[in-house]
Amino acid sequence: MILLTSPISPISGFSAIGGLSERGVGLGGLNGLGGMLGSSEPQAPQGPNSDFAGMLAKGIENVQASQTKAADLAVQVADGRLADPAQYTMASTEAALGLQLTMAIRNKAVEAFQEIMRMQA
Amino acid sequence: MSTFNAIGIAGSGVTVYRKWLDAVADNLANINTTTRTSENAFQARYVAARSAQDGNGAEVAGVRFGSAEGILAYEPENPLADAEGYVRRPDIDMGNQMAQLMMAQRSYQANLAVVDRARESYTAAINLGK
Repeated sequence: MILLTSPISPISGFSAIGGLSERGVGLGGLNGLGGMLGSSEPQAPQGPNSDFAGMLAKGIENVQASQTKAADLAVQVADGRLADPAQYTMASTEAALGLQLTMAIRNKAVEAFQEIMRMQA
Repeated sequence: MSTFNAIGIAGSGVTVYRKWLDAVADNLANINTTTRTSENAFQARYVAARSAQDGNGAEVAGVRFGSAEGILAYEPENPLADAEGYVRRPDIDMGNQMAQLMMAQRSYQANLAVVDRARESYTAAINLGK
């Protein structure tokens, strides 16, 4: 999970924008810059975006769980243990939707990251 | 998974109606099952549904059984007949069972239609973000 969220942790530097609007044009903005420049904290994301990181991690775990469930049910359908085949089709639908949603979010995150990288050019 | 809740809720309905279909199938399969007068007749199965305890959809609360007494039928040629020529037949009305079968089938299909529409809606929502 940390691997997935760390590439976009520079976004947390943009909490400076929040700082500007909330606390006026003060030192709040510098805190954000510190987060952007400081390479001293490579551990788990903390600060304003930790909620987002946690949500992302939880979401991916959910997707993983639904994929596992669908795979288990597929095996049960194959060897005839599953009394209700509709359960499998619904589980696989849910898993597919979850994966699609994950991909949509991931593409958006990558897009945002690239947009930010283009800013410094 | 709560993200796609509608699918899970409709899925619980699908399970309930499948069990109802199974019960009706069992009742119809045993509609001619005769027994000795000294034994219980085949008891029709009735599935009792209720809303799920976690608030997501429906579930089977239990199975109720029909009359064990059944109907006494005069069939002296039947090998199971008693000294007076009577056997026990299950007290199942085929018309009633067929009506139940239709209700169960339509409800099953309705829940699957919900799954289908929910999938379409979720896909549309995801495509919006692409």
